[in-house]
Amino acid sequence: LNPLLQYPEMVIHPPMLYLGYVGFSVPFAFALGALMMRYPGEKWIHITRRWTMVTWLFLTCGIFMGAHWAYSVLGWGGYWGWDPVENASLMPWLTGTAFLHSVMMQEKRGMMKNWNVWLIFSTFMLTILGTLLTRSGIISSVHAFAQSPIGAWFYTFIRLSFAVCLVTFLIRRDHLKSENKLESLVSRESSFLFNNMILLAACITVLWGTLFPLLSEAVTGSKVTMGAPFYNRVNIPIGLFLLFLTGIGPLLAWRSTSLRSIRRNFMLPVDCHGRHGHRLMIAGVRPWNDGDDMQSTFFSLIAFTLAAGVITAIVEEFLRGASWCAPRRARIYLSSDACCSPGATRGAMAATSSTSALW
Amino acid sequence: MFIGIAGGAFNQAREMEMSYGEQPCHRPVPPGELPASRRTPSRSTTPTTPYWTSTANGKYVTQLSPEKRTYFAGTDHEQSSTIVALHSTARGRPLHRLRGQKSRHRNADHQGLPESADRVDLDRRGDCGAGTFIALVPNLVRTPVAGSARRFAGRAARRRAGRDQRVIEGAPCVSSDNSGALTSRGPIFWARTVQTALLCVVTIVDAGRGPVALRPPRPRADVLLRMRPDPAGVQPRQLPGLAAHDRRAARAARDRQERRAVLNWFAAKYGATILAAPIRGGFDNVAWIVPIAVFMLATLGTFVVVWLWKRRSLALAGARRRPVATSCPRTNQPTGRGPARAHSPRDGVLNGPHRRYLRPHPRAASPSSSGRSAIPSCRPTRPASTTCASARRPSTRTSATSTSNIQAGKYPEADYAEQRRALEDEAAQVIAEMEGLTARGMKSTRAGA
Repeated sequence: LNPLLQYPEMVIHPPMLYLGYVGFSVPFAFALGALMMRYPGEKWIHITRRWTMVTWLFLTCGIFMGAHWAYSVLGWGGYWGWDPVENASLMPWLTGTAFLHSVMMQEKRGMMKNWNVWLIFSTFMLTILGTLLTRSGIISSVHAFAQSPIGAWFYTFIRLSFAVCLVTFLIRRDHLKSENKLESLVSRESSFLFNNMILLAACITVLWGTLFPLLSEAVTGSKVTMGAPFYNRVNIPIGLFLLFLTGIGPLLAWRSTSLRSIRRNFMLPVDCHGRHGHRLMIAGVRPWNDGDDMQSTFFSLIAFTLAAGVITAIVEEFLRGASWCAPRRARIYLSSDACCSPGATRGAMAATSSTSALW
Repeated sequence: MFIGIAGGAFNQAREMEMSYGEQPCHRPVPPGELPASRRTPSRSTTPTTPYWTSTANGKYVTQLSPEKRTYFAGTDHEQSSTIVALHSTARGRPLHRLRGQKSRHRNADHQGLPESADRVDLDRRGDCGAGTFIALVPNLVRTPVAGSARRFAGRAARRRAGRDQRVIEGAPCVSSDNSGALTSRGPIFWARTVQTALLCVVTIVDAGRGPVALRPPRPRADVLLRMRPDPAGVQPRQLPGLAAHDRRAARAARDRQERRAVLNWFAAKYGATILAAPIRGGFDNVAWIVPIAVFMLATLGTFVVVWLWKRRSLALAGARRRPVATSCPRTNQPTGRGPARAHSPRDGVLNGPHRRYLRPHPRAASPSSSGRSAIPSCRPTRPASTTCASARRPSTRTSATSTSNIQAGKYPEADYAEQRRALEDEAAQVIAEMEGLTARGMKSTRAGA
C-alpha cells in the first residue's frame, strides 16, 4: 500500500465517500423512474428522503475525513487544498445540499419540480464525474495512485446518462408543471431559491476551476494550475452570501412575510451583528490597518459578524419555539401526543428543559 | 473599493441635486466675470441660481444650492456634504464643526461670502466621527427614513381623525397613496437611500477605528510611488522628508513589484503551470471573469424569476376568487418546516395531473362546499371504514403547530386565520357528527330495550 495511505482514517474515508457517491443513485433512480412512468405526486421524494439524507451524511463524513487526512499526512497547511479530486467530491455535495433544500418546496408547495429533477440528475452525474476525475488521471492530483485506464468507460457512461435524462425530461416535461408560484420576494420560498442558486453557483465555480486547465490547454496549448488562491478569491464572496442566507432563511415565513414579522424576527440578529462587528473592530480586526492582508481581514470581519448574526437568529428561533412549548411540557412528558409535532421543536423543548434543569 | 463605490454613488447624487437649478459652472471663473449681485448671493433672493463658482487668487470657492450647506475643503475645492464627510472619515482627515458659530475664516478669499450657520471648515482639527455625522445630518433629514416617519405620523393623524384624507408629503421625489406605500421612487430617492445605508456602515466603521490619535498615518509614499512610472525604481531614501512609516510603505510597494517580477520570471521559464493561479491577462482572464459572471447572473436571474412569478401569481389571484376551505381539508402530518401544503385548498395541490387518482369525498359535492367541488379529502388507499372524522384526527396537532409557527413568524397571518377558521368549522362538524351518532346509538338502545 502507498505509504501515504497508511493512516487510520484512510480505512474509513474511501467507504464513506463510496457510500456517498453510490447512495445518490437511489434518489436519481426514483426521480427518473417517476418521470418515466408519470408517477403522480411527490411520493418518490418521501420514499427517498432518508436515502438522500443518509447519503449526504456519508458524503459529508467522507469529505471531512479526507480533509483531516490531507491536513495530517500531506501537510498542505490546511484542511482543504482545492485539489481536483477534493473538488470532485465537493461538487455533488453542493448539488445534493441544494436538492435537500429544494425538495422541501416541492413537498410543501408543489413548486420547482423541474429544478429538483435536474438537481438530482446533476448530482448523480457529478458523482460519476468525480469518479472519472479520480480514476482517469486527466487532471493532475494528489490522488494519482488511483489512476487506471477505466476513464473512458466513465466518460461514456456520463454521456449516456445525460442523454437519457435529457430525452426523458423533454418527453415528460408536461408532468413537471409547478402547482404554485412565488408570491413574494420576502418569503421562505425565495430564500430557498436564492440558496439553491448560490449553491449551484458555487458548484459551477468549482467545476469551472477544476476543468479550466483542460480548457486552457485546448485553447492556448499551455496548461495552467488552478490552486487555492483562485478558489479562495472567487468562492469567499459566494460563501459569505450563503452564510447570510443561512441566517435569514429560517426566519422567513412561507408564502410571504409581513413587515411586523420581519421586525420581530430580525431585530435581535441585526443588533447582534452590528455589535459584534463593532467589538471586533475595537479588538483589532481592522482591515484598513493590515496593508496587503486587507482583503482577508475584511472577509474575516464580515464572516465573523455574519456568523454572530446567524447564530443569534438560530438560537432566537430555537428559544422562541421552546418558550411556546414550555407551558405544555408537562403534557408532553405525560403523553406521547406532543403539543409540537415537529421533531426540531420537540428537541428544542427537551433541550430547554435540560438546560433549565442544569441551571 | 467601498469608498470608490460610495464616491461614485454620491457624485451621481450630487449631479442630480445640482440639476434642480442651473447647470453648474465647473471651470474657475475670474472674479470680474461674475456680476456683483451673484458674488454675494442670499438664500432668499437667489432660489433659482443655486450654484456658482468664484475664484480669487487662483483658488476657487463654490456655493451650492440654498438647500445645501457650504463646506470649505481648505482652500482647494469645495464639495457636497456627503462627499466631504465620507472623505474625511475614510482618509482620517480632521473635520471641525462650526455649526451655530460664526465662521472663523482664516483665508481672505472666504471673507466675502455670506455667513452660514452650517459651515464646516476642514482646516480645523476635530473629531472625524462627529464631523461626519454632523455633515451628513442635512442630507439625512431628506431621506426616505424621514419621509417614512412623516408618512407614519400622517397616517396616525388620519386614523385619529377618522377620515380618509390624503396627506401630501413634502418630499419631492416620493409620493404616497392612501395606504402610505411608496408609489413613485425617483433617482434622488434611491441616491439618498444609498446614503442612508452607507451612513450606517460608515458610522460603525468609524466608531471601530478608535480615536484619531491612535490611527496610523496614511502611507503617502505609497501614493507617490503609484504616481511614478516606475515605482520599483524609487528608493525610500530618494524621498526626503518622509517619516518612518512612509519609508516602510515605500519598501513594501517595492517588494510587491519585486515579487511580481520574480513570478513573471518563473512563469516565463517554466510555463504558467508553475503559478498557483493563472496570471491575469489573455485567455486567463476568462478563468476570473466566468465565476463572477455566474454569481452575478445567478443572483440577478433569481431576482427576475421571483419577480416574474410574483407578478403572475398576483394576476392569477386577481382573476380568480380564493375559495374558503371545504368541509374536510386534507391534513398532512406537519413536519415543522412550514405549513402543511394541503391545509389550504387554494394552493392548487389537487389540480395537478394526479387528480384522477383521488376519489372525491361525498361531502365535496354537498351544497355547503364552495369553490372547487372536486377537492377530495381522503386518499383512495384509505380503508372504506375509515371516516373523515378519523382522518381529521391530527387537526389538533396541526392547530397547535400552526399556532407555534405563527408565533415564530414562520406562517403568514392570512393562512393562519384561514386555517384556524377551517379547523374550527371542521371541529364543529365532527362534534355534530359524533352527537348524531351518539343520539342514534341511544335511540337504537332504547328501541332494543
